Parts: sequence; structure tokens; C-alpha cells
Amino acid sequence: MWDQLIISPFINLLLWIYKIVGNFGVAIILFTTLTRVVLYPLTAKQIKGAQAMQELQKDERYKKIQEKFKGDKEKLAQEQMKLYQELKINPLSSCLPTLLQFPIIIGLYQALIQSIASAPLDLLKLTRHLYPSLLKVPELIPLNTQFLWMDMGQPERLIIPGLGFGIPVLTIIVVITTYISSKIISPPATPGAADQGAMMTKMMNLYMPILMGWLAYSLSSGLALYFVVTNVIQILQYAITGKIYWDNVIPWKKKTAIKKP
Amino acid sequence: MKKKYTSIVVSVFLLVMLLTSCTGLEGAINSWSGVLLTDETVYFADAGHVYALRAENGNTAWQYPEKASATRVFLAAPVLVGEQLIVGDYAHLLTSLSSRDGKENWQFTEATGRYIDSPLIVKDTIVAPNADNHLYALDLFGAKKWTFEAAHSFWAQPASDGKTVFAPSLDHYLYALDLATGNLKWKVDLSASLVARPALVDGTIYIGNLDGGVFAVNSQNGNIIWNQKVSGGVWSAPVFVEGQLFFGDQTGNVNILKAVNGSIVQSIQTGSAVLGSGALLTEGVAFGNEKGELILFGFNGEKQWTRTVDGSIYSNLSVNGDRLLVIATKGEKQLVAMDVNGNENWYFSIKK
Repeated sequence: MWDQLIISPFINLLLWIYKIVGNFGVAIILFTTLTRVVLYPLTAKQIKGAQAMQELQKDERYKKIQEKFKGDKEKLAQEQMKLYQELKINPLSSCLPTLLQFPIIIGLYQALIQSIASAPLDLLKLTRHLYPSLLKVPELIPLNTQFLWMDMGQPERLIIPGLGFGIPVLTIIVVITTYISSKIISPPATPGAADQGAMMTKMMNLYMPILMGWLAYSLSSGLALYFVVTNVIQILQYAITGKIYWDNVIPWKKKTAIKKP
Repeated sequence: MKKKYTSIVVSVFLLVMLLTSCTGLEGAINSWSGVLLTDETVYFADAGHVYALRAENGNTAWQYPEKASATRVFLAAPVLVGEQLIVGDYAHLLTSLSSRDGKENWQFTEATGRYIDSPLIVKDTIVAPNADNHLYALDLFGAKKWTFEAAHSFWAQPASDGKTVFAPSLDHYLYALDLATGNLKWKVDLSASLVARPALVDGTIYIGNLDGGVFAVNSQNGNIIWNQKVSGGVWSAPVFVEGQLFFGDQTGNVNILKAVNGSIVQSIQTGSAVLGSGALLTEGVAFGNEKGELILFGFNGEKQWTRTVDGSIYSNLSVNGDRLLVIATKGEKQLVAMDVNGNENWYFSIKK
């Protein structure tokens, strides 16, 4: 069911784009862009929901409730709920779109992996996913997975003559774009406040680029390219939809802001 | 606060696990194993190790390497030359092992792609197909003699008549190369990717492609003698018996063609994909299918018997004397040794 509803359509779409443009790297970029555009209404809802929650945390009533009921979690929850209702904020509005997107993103990811088909069992599965009326095996296979200096089916390393090792350029770009895309959406920490939400965000901002970088380093460069395109589009979507905290990207700028009274 | 940190780390860890499980990074096998059967020993390449098993009872004589790694995946059937066992892996290494104890003799490290299928040994030359689009010819000490580059990967073991190497590639071409120099003699476009091994019989090469095309090619000049179409992609070499070709296809048919003109004698549906080569037995030709059924077809195409193993049979069947080996991909028993009537003698199961 999952394969028929999600994976097969994604694979056929990706490979149909590939058939038109003739380059797998370009096909990945276009395919990722297209799916992110289709998912944009959900992403926009998620961004607005998250921003509403961030705004709420600055609200004086919210701060007072936190202070007043910090020893009584049940009462705190009740008061918070009242405030949500009063301000017409749905605390799940940022989570639900993410949850809805999640299977699609996983499907996208699997489609990409299965399209690369760098071993017999993968190729067997791929030929079974193809819609014969849309794509023909002899026209499509083998895929030309070369894009710039990269083989989309292999982990990427830029080999510079004379240098004894390959430079993982795409991994570096993944780390940087993941860092930027997570930092620009976090509001600057309130001076003097050591709230748990901010600490959690800080941790996520630290761990995510490293982990995404590790995945990009070890997996095929097609996926790393997908990560980069996703991050760039995410940054653009945030820029269109809401506030971007560029100061967060530059650590010393942030410190200056905190020192302000 | 510590609890919060822990939950973040755990969440991120779970996300990574989820993503890696989608990609197969955790070591999921994306091909099928290979086996070499000799009188005394079975050499079994199964993911992290190459095992030498005693042919009479399946007991392990040795395994290589000592500890499995995530990247060194062995799936191509090993080949034997003298006392050297040649094995290729997914970490781009072609390794010569002592067939006695599994100790390394030498390693060829120049390739940059996976060794999907076994190398071919012709006299004192090892011809290894690699997914990096190259065919590597080495001497028996692992020194490179020549390489040949195609437009795409070499996944299947080539064939040879002792002077020429016939190498199928995913780029749709069958290449004929001089064994001594690697120079191209001729090439022929066979319309779709070639993942199946070729069969060379009396100067004619028989090979199927991924689109169900089957061809007979003159080995001297590359001219196509005939071509035929079967219902599904062909993944393995045909078995030649008394002027007929027996081979499976991806739609589950076992096809019998006349070798002289390619006319279809019979196509018998087995119920699921037949990818591996058949095994020629005294009573007929046995084939395995994706459902795990091992079926013996008489030479007239009639089903003689069916046995079932747990898992899928994708790999080529191996036969030596009265011993038949079946690899069951994703099965409880990875390797099953049978007699020629399909009765189980022993099995080998890897402790996960």
C-alpha cells in the first residue's frame, strides 16, 4: 500500500523529470523543489503556528502564569490552555502539518534511494515501480547518475590532484545550510532568561547540522543534494512567510544583542 | 533539565535511525549472495563474511574477515584459481585469500565501484567486472594488466573463449576485448541494460537483457544471429542443453528456446520471478524463484518436483556431482545443501 501510494508515484515522477532533463542531479533539484512547493500550504501553516507560539512566550500574561504556577503543573496546564483559547492559538498547529508532511518526506527520501538503484535488488525493485505507459526500462536504465563532479549514487568527495584525500564539499554545504535554516527561525533568547525551550532549541541547532552532515557524508550524494535543496527552499519559505532572525547565524552579533538592557 | 537533553538526544538519534533504515545504511542487503561449490568445500559470500564450509556437512572451516564491517559487503560468488580464492566486495576491494585458511594474499584497490558479480579466471588472468564502469584484468599476483572503460557499469561476470573476453555492460553493449591487451575487438548494442552473464557455446554468445530481449551473437564479429523477446527481464545466463536454452525471466517464466533460431519452445509460469541461473541435473534443469520454490523441469519442460525453502531464491543454483546448493535470500536458512532430488542434507545459517 505504502509502495503503491507513495513510493511508486514519487519514483515515476522523479524519473519522468530525469527523462526530460537527462541529468539525475538536475532531476533531484527539480523534484525536491516541486514537492516542497506542493507541500507549501502545510509548511506555511507550520511556520505560522510556530511563530504564534514564539510570540506567546513573550506575552506578559504567559510569563506571569509560568511564574505563578511553576510548582503546580496541572494548574499551569489549565491556565495555559485558557490563554491559548483567549488568544485563539492552537498549540498543535505547528505540529500537525509537520506530522502530515513526515510520511511524504520519508516517501520522497525512499523514492530517491530506490531510484539510484546501485545494486541488483534495488534495480529489481525499481523496474517493478515503473509505470510501463510512462517509462520504459531500456530508455531509462542505466541512469546517468553523474552530476558535476559527483556520482549521485555514491558518497561525494571532491578529489583535488596532489591532495591525499577527497573533500566532502556537499557535506560541508549540508552542515552550513542546516545550521542556517535552524538558526534563522529561532528568536533571540530573552536576556537573563534560562528557559527550557530556548535550551532545547540551542541543543537541536547544535546536533542537527552535525547529524545531517554525518548522513550526507556517509550516504549517496543524491541524498545530500536533496538535503541541500530542502534546506535552501526552507530558508526561502521562512523568508516569504515570516520573520527570519539573521542575527542568530552570526554568534557574536547575538551576544551583543543579549547585553542590551 | 537533564531529562530534556536526554529526550532531545534520543529524538535526534531516533530520527537518524529512521533515515538510515530508509537508506539501507544499517547494512541491509541490496543484492543476493553468491556461492562456489567444489568437491571438498563450499565458499559462501554472504554480506559481512566469506565462509569456507565443508561440503559434506556445512561446518565452518574458516571465515574472512574476522570481524564484519558495515562497508565490506561480500555478495559476488568467490572464484578459485589454484589455491587462491578471489573475492570482490562493495568496498571496492578485490582480495585474494588462501583457500586453505582464508589468509589474505594480496588486495587490488584501484577500483572505485562495487564488485557486483564474480571475476572470470582465464588461464593466468583475472578479469573483474566493476560498477565503476571498468573491467580490470590482473595477473595472479594482483598486478594490473589492463583496464577497459565502458559508458556504464559492469555487473555481470564476462565469458571467454581463451582469446577474447565477452563483457556485458549496463550501457546496453556487449563488448569483445582481446584477453591479452584489453583492446576492443567489437561491440554490439543489445537494446537494454545487460545484467545477465553471457553463455558461450560453440562460437555463439547467448544473452538476455533487462527488457526481455534474448540474443544470439556471433563471437567472431558481434553480428546478431537472431533475437527473441520473452515476457520479462533476463537476469542470468541460459543453460544450454541439447540445442535448447533454458532460462528464467522477471515475470516468473522459465523459457525454453531453440538455440539455432531462438524460437520459443515453451514458457512455463512458476508464479514469481526467476532470476538466477538454473542447475543442470540428470533429470532436467532446476530453477529457483522469488517465492522460494525450487522446481525441477524435465528436458521436455514438464515439472518433475517442487521443493520450498524459506526466503527468496535469486542467486544462481550451484551443482557439483550429486550436491545442489540453494541460497535463500532473507530466509532462516541462508544456504541449503540438497541432493539432486531436492532432499535437504544440511543447511548453513548465520547467527545474527
